[in-house]
Amino acid sequence: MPFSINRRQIILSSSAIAASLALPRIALASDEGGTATGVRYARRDQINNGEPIRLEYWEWSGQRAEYQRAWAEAYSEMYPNVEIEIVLQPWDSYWPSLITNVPAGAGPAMWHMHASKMVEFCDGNLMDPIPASVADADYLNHHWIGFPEGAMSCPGTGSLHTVPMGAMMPLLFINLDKWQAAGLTEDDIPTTWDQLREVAALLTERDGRNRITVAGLSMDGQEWLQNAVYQQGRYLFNADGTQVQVQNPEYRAALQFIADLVHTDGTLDNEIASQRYDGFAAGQSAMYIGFSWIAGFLRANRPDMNWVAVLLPTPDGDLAPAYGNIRFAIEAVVNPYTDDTTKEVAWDFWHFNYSRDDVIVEDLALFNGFLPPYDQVLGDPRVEGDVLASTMSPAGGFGIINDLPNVVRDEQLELVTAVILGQGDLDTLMADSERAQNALLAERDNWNIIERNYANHAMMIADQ
Amino acid sequence: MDRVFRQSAWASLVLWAGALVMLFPAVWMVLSAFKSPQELLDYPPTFLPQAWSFEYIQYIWTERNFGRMMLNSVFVSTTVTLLTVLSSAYIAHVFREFRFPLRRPLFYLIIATTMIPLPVLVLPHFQIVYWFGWLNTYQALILPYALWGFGVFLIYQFLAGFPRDLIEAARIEGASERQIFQYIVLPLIKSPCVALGIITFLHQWESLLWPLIAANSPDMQLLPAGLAALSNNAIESADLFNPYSAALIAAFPLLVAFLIFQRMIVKGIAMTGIK
Amino acid sequence: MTSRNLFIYGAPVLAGGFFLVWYILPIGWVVGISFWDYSPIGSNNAPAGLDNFREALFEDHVFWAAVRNTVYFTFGNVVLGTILALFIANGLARLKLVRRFAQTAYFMPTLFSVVAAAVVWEEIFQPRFGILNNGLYYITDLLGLPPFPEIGWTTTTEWSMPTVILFGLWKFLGIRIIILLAAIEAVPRDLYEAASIEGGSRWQQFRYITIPMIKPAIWFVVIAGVINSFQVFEPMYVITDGGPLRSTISIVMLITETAFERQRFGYSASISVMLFLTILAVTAVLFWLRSRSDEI
Repeated sequence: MPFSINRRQIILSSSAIAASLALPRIALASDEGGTATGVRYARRDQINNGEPIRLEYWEWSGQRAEYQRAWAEAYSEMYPNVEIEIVLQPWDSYWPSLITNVPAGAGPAMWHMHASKMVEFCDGNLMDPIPASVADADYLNHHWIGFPEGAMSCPGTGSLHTVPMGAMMPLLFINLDKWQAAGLTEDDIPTTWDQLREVAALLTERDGRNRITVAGLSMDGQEWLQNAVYQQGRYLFNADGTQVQVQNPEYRAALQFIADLVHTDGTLDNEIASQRYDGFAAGQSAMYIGFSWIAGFLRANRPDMNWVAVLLPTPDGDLAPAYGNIRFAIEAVVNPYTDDTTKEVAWDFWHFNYSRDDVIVEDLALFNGFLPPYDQVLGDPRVEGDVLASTMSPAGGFGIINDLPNVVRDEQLELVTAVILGQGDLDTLMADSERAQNALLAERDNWNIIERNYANHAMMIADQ
Repeated sequence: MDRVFRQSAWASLVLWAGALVMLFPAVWMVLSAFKSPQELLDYPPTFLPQAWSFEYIQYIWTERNFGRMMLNSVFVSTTVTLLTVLSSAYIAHVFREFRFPLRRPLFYLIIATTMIPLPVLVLPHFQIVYWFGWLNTYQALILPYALWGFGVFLIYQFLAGFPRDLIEAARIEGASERQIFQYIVLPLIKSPCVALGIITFLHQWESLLWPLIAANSPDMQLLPAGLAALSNNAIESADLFNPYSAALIAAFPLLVAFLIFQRMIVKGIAMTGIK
Repeated sequence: MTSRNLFIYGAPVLAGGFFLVWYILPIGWVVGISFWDYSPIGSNNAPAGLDNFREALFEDHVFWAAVRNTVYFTFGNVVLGTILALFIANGLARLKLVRRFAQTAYFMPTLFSVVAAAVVWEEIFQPRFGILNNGLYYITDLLGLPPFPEIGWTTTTEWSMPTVILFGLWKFLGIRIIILLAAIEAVPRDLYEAASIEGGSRWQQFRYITIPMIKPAIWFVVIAGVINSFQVFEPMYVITDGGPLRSTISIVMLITETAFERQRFGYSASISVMLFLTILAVTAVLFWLRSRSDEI
């Protein structure tokens, strides 16, 4: 569907991307080394002396298992004595399982890691340090977008255990069938919060009982909150990252927006809000605000759905002072407690994968709806031709890298639910939530809050 | 006499209607288990599947490890049941038959343990298993439940009602104590043992809390814990699957057993309820 | 040691050893650790005095939410469950036509794995798109009745606990009926015969013959129901995950969450201790009430 998005006349290109484009392209031998990561892989005669070895590789998402199996096959083709089994484990039991199994020496050889769990895994020493053959810190420092400010290494020690598979940003997903049915065109794509409310009202459908059957707009409330607060120049934490700041006008405005949708406009209600992205996939909402990985979910599970993703509206249409939250998805992790042979094979597997640009670009990034965070491949035709990647890239420099502690995430979600259910006035709810979040934060010393590493920190509200 | 003890017509109707309501979740589960995950998103919901397909059940069974979990659940539940019944019968028999030091206080202690709620023991059990390095092992799932104070009590009560002359006679014949237990006592207490076995198996099969904590690796998980994790579709999971298919796999074995052994199971439950 | 002695002393050693390792020492450990800041994985373990108890009782509103919810569940589940089971058991005992089918239907949930049932329940009770609200609306619409309103079963704070209680009623009705039915069937039929000759109605038979005769079974159902309900975990863990807004978090849920998600074993242990003492106290009161009711 030809749906060009040219809504921002001035493309405020990201400082990181701009800087990277200015760098001379380093020509790498592409047949044996990856352009993206600078990692070269030379095929060995044999590994593990040709003796059979079996490795487990854990993943929580069924759709990713497909390409992971393809990697495993490609590797086994080179070294037929190696068998890599992809084991699926749902998110809820995935993390407790790793945390108890790995130190006991029983966990998988490798697993798919998630940035929100880094602090906990660093604390417990649950990840093997990444060898220089797989990731050269100096090279990454120059070519991995967000490396210095993203602080992917463990807090305190600074050791590196994993490299990212992609950067994701929040986007506005639009169901085009519903959009067109409401008589809207591409000129109507909202860029400000007010416009967003207006089109949401137009898209809302009700049944004979006046119940919402299609909500104009729904969102992951926690993500909305985080992005909306950033968009107004406000950080979520105080300067030393020990406490949250909730009781301020920006936070209030972000909550008020949701309250307006539900209680004033009637374009969203609790039933649909609680369905989240499944609801958008089921056609229960016409627009959805969520991270770009939802694109991967929609492609895999709703191949016939007619949708498009555009940049989030901001309070007044500008990307400055900030656009929203950037999160890094990370991949390679090896179990430090397995025997040395297993470790060697596991790292060799990653070494092989990270030398392959098609793995970095197609599988890890674009398939999942991520932007490959390696500047050397941004000019790759596959990236340039990817609708989602080109949609996200203008906002890249206005993304604030931070993965929230789970305790804060959960409390924010509770706060949004309370607003949607109308459980009291905003100021009381905010005061309660601030107290609750700070009490939970006090249970740990270092949460590795890195939001103030933001490249455009100077644009944010001063002295907060 | 039956003419007196009988139901009015409208009350019978209410009972039958209630029975249908009770059955509905099971019927709905079976119908929905054969729908595609996409069909489940349809609104308004469909009643019968558009196309009956085993694909979704198969996916859960193989890709989502439910086959392995079924094996684990069957093995753990069966082992716990056998251990509980045998050790309870043995201990109850010895405590009734013989006098030895500390018999009384020990017996009261066993009865007293039934007052301790199992969730309260989850923390220390985790600590023990953690110390031993037993997380994600069968022994962690089985050992804490291998004996049950209530089981000892139940069988002791039944034994107390039986005459001892058979035992005395066997002893005079020269039977060993093990033989007496095996060939005379066990057959006598068959029905309370079956009853205890049934409720122990039921508890184990359904048990969620301890397996959730003690065994969460893919190859050691039990059905309820695996099902709970799969159905709590976290926002990050990004998978569309049919929760009914998973529930059907977890519920199927006992529902079938119930249809076949209903009389025995109901009798067993009723027996353990009468104190 | 002779094999006879081995056989005899094996039992107390086995029983003593087992209950010492898995019950007595653990309960002592829980009590001890409740006065500490402790986590088996973490390193900053220190004595905490009464801090854990003070925090739970005076600072932690989630603790009180859990207490309130658990009491709410217990009350609803035991009172409604017992009354319902009593009437149904009485009805089933007197049912002549297709009794076996009805009985099977009422017993079925007992054998329906609780987690699987809760997963199904969660889908059925989804307010906007689930089969229950839509089905009820469809039926009322068909019959020309006023439309059945959309009830926010799992998604509103008012209805979440009633939904979990309804689940409890459905799931645990069977076991209650089995016990009460067995007791009713054991009541001598000639008592009813005599009553009917004197012109007693069915209600009077129920009230003045059945209930007094099966009182021990009723007490058993009530006491077991209270003890089990105080430990409720699975229904809310699966159906609502304690939400929305903690409106269905139970004490046992809080215990596991505190220990295994927040690594606060000491705090979790202090809640465990309070739960244990509460269950003991409530059970004692119920037994006292039972003995008093016997005297009257």
